[in-house]
Amino acid sequence: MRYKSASSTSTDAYCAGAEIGGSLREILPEVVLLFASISYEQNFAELFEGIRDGLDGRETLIFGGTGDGIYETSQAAHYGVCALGMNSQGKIRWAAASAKGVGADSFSAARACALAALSSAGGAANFAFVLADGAKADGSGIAAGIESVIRVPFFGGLTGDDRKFTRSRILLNGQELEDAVSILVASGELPYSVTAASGWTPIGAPGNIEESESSTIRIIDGMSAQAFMKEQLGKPLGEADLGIVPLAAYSEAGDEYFFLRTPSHMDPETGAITTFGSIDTGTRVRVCTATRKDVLEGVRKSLEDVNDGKFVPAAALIISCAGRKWLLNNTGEEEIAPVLTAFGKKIPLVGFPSFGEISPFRKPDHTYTRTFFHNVTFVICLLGG
Amino acid sequence: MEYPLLSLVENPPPGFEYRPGLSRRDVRSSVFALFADSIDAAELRLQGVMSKVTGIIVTFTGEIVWEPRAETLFHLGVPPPLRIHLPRLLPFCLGFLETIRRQADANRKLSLELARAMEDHRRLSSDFDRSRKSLLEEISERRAAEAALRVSEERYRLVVDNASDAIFIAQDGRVKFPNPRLSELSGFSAEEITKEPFVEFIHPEDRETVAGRYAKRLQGEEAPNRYTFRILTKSGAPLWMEIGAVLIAWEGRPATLNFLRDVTQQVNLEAQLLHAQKMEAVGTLAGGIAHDFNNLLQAISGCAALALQEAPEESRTRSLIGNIGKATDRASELVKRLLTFSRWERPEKRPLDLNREISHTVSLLERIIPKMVRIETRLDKDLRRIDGDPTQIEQIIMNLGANARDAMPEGGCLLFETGNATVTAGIGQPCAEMDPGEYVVLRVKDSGVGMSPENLNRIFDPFFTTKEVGAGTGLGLSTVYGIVRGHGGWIRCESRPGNGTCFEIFLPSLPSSHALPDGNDPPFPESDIPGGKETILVVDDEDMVRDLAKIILEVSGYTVLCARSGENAMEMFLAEDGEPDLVILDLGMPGMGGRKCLAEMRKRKPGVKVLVASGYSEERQAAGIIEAGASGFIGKPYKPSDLARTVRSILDGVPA
Repeated sequence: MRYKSASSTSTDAYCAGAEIGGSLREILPEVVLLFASISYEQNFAELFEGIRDGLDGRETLIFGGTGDGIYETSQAAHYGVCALGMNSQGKIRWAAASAKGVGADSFSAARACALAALSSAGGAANFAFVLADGAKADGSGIAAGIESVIRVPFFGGLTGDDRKFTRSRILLNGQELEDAVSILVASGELPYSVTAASGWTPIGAPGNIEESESSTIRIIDGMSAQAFMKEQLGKPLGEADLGIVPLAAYSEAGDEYFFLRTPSHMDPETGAITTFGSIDTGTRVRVCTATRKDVLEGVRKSLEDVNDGKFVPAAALIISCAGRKWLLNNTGEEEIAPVLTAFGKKIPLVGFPSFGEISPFRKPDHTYTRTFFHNVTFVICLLGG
Repeated sequence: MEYPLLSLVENPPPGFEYRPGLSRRDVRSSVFALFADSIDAAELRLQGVMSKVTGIIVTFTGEIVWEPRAETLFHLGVPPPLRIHLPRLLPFCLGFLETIRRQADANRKLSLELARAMEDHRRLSSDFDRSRKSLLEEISERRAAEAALRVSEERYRLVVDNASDAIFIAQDGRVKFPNPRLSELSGFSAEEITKEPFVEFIHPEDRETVAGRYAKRLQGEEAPNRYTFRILTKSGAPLWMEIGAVLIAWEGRPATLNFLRDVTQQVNLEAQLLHAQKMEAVGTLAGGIAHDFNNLLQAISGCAALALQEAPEESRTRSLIGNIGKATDRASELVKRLLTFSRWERPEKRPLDLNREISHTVSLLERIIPKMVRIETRLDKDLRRIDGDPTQIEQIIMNLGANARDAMPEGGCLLFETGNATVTAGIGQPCAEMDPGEYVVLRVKDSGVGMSPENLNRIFDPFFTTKEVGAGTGLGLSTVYGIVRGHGGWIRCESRPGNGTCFEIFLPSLPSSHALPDGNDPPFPESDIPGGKETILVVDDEDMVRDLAKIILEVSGYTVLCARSGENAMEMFLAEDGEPDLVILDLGMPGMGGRKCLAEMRKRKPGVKVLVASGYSEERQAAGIIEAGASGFIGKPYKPSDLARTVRSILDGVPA
């Protein structure tokens, strides 16, 4: 496998695309994973055009989405575009599919998308990377829908915008899609490992969700969700806390493996909160906090868990929740640095600040738990070959 | 973005070509091409607008070296013949354009960053305002809560500080937060109370009980949460307290919340009530014994009287029999006093001026009380009248006076004081069972040695005495008690060792309009023992009494028949040829008692004469018997002469 990463912070979409394409042209990529900030939303067509021009017209599967910035080997930025070119020299069969309607029924849309992708891939896949519209999709439904079809560990994230939580785009082969889910599958020899970690710690007293509907939590322990969080935090939930202050939700997998849900919206009238991802009534939850140190500790833990030594990592793909960089109050470079330190400063690395992460946990015995939808989590996938 | 001086046309000018597949938008927005005839013409045309140019000037003329980068940037393929001119212009323009482009890019990035920063600022400001508002609301709520708490505390303090019960917390063996009432009751200040372990304020005899129950309660064990005990006030006086205690948590540790009520008066009243009930019981017992004893004395005294009549003059036998008579007289007197105590000796009451009785009796007392005891009187001039037996009233004064004398062996002062009193129901009444109303109060105070609390509790008990054996019968105060109670009154005593004694007697007073009778009734004259020939039926279950009566009457000349029961009497009464002239009927007999026997006899023969004889000297009972048809009443033990006289009176039809 040949991997190369490139990035551009040019505000001119075409120029940025041309820069990216021109940089990746040397490896003749079969697939380009593309992540861009929403600032190009008026000019994605030109971005695609620039990439195509940069690749000299070469036919390439372009798969990506928007986030609140970019991560790449050479930089992390709030605005820009980054890409990872991959060339298996024909050994891997790549396929991508998309489906609309995640806002109405994320599970069904994700399931349909996964079926279409598998069909395109010849019916089997041993690698799957998923992106869904973070402004519309229920990440839990997405994960569940895909899990109902794809049997290998899969990962991905929800696309986002610049912290406004209003829109995002899936970028697929020249199309910019909303209210959609897309999956990139690969069949063939593609060594990879993936895991997730957050660093957030439950601090509050546990409460039981007594009333919730999809992603909206209304009542916890007899009081409104906002009142419950206020009681545990000691202050009311603020706009600055959206995407950062999560609830730890305990699943049947055991207390060690809790997933997080951060609020994306607050209803001042009812006191309800809407989270990134649905959460069932009856779920036991606790409010969590994290310091900067805790955030980076999450990165360190994920690096510990992901590298099993079975292959030499040749590239890294990072989906890190945008809330983490908001808490770190920077472009995210502090999260990238340990990865580069661990795997080499020149390792092709791309990623984006997402609005939700999809990943299993890697257990100590190197097997995987089932795939969860996470918030404020750092997901890293190492690619080999 | 559209630029001025745009010269894009559908087809490039001759010699120029657009690179295949490139964006037309790029040509418009990134660079423009100006077609000019010559370099000079181009420069001339651009002179005024050079500063605004962001494109390249391409002319036909000049050989230039074409740089591929330029092609990419400017999207134009310059044919080789024209490329010769480009080097003179392109580097300058390229650099310039690059600078412009970078500046534009930087400006846009700056705008984006600024917009982001402002959005972050807005978000943080909004959250700051929200948090500040929430904080202010929380502060307001807290202040309101604190104000409400202060009001609540003030109300609580108002209630607790003005409570009639003492309220306090007990923790670690000490009193905490006592309300003012506790100081009022105990005489100790709050500081004094909280400084010492609370057991120090409890009567020594009650400390173990109180401390034990307190400890049990703290450990969660069962303990009575309502009981009484004594505290010692600052003056040393004991007070009875009723406590209600509950276990609480105070400042995170076990404690008790306690309510104390002064029940001293209640306890005292209860003690008085118990004492009165005891006295009633003792009186009932004493009366019963006295009655039976009277019958025995009747037999002894009667036989002695008869034996005395037959004993030779100057003989030793006569002397011995005389001694028997004296002894039985003394025994009768004792029984009489016992009956007085048990109120079976009914007073013969009439309106009295207590002050007059006191003055009269004090003059008698002065003969038996040593001169070193000073007798004083303080008598209310407006004292109301009472309904009393003057003999018994005299006995009260004499007995109390004698006791006071005995309490002042070294001399002292004996005060008799009278006054009117109005007693109202409630805790303030002098004795527990007193009826509210108008009373006359007699106080007898001495400055003698006083009595201990133990003796004080027993002074009215019959035969209780602190004197040596033989120095007193122990019936003096019992008699006083009996007389007072017989008059419907109440007596109480206060005494402390070394502080003298005060008896306080409450006697119901008469309405003020009640006048005293004139003078005293003349005494009844003595007369000889009369006799007769009539037939008399003696009915008594006591053999000796019956036999004695038979002897007495036969000696007087009567024919005497005897029956041992009411049933036996009825048989004889009905079987006798001709009714007996008189029936002497004992009232207290088993089976058909005297009352029923009387009724039966009168039913059979309404005019039958019946003399009721009884050891029960209850005037009401006797009066009732008279009303039931008896002809007369004689109390036992009676003297033979009294019996004979009474029998004769009845037979003669004279009221007895």
